[in-house]
Amino acid sequence: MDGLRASGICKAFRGSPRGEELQVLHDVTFSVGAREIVGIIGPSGCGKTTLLKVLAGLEAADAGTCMLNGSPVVGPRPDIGIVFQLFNLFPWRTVVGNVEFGLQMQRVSSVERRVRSGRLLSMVGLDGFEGYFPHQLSGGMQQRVGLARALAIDPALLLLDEPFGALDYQTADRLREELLRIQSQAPKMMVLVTHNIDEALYLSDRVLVFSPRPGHVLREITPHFPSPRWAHDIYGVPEFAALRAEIKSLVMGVPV
Amino acid sequence: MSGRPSVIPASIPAPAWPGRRLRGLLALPWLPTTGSLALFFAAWQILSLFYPPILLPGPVATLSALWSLFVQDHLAQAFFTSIQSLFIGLGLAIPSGIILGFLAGVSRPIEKAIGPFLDALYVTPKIMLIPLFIIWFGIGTEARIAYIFVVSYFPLVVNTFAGVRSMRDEFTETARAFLAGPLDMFRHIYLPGSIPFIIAGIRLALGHAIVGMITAEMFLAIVGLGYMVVNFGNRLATAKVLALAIFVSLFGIVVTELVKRSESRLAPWTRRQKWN
Repeated sequence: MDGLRASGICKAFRGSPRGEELQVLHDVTFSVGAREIVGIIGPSGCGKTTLLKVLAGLEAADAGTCMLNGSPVVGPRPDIGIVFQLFNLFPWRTVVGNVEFGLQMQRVSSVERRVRSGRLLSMVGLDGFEGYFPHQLSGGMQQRVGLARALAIDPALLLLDEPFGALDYQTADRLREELLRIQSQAPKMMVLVTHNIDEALYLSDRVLVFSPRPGHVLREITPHFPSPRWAHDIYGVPEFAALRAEIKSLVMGVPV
Repeated sequence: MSGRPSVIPASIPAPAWPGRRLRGLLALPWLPTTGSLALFFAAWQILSLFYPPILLPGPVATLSALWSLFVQDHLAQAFFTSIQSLFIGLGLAIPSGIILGFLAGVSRPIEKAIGPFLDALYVTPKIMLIPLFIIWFGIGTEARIAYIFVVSYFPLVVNTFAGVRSMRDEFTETARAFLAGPLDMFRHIYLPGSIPFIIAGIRLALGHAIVGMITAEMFLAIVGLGYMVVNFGNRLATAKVLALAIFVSLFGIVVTELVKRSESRLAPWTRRQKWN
């Protein structure tokens, strides 16, 4: 069974000031096919990031299961890569050290690591920056390293937690385009969490709109934009505007 | 210049107020330090003219006393005796302090268990333990090493502990997501992340250890720099006492600086300079 299948995922957090349970996710069910990018969008605080942590095996769900290529996700796995909003690069490791981190943890030989990190770094356009430390790089370059680190382990599933949310508009735009280019060269299954409607529509093959907390899938939207999306100005397509308005009304409660 | 209101056209020259030249001089990076040192030595020299050398020898007399300490009083030999116990004491305190700091950092029970002892170690004047060390170890090298160990232990434990505890959750979580095991966490996350803290701890420990070295020798040795100080003090060789104090402080400055420099070698990511 190929793909990601999340069914009936519930998650609550304890320890609010009055000791009440805070229901964050309620019965979240969806699937992601091979080579598919699924965007998850919703009002802030709807549990998007929590969902991503559950998918990554970093948080255990209270109920429900998550199957990746036929086996349940019960903890961090070697076939899941993750990209964080604030990059989370290790400041004490160089660019190449960060990219190779996952491979090193999986006990890949140093020769093999060098080959793979070199390939990934040129894929994200960071040739020649191997020996730099993260603080010497701009935000956009840091996130390229974050992307290379996640792709270096050649994951079956790539999780992206608001990956371009901390970058300026132009940098984010360029990185989005590059993500799609990378996807067209070496397709991956991706789950993208974002609060940016345009980004969700631009990057995703399918968009899941989440309800306010406790989050669950409110609507599933499949845009039909000309392909490849990065080669066309899909922001100017009439369908884009229509879907944008629809999602906005769902997320922000603004009438269509 | 920045205080000038922007409505004044730039072509009008800035008023040549009298402090301007002085301000330009003060902007030289080496001047404040060199200047204050020069002033200090000048004042000391002038002041020493009014007192007999047994009360206040001048800087020149002190410097020549330092020279005679080397050529007559075997200062180099005493110095090596002193730093021998210094480095053995530190050599024992540094690894064990770091290990204990790590253990306390990763384990709340260990933190709670050693808490009262650490507090006691911090607040107790260590000098009170010297009679005890004499009873236990005699007045030989062992007692001095033990004393140096005790005075330098606290900052090592506490700084390493702080380094481990200051590790941000996003780094441990990221490491976990990329399949880091407990040993990887220690080797690749906590250890490198704590290095700046550990080096700061070593610097503090070094300062305490130098003080401890002299104190121990003043109380329980017939060798070393501390003994020399007591000896010359008793003989009212004021210039030599001053010279020894200056010698020890120079030594302290040099080794602390060496440790400081090692940080940019061991933890190059702390050299904060952005170029973008």
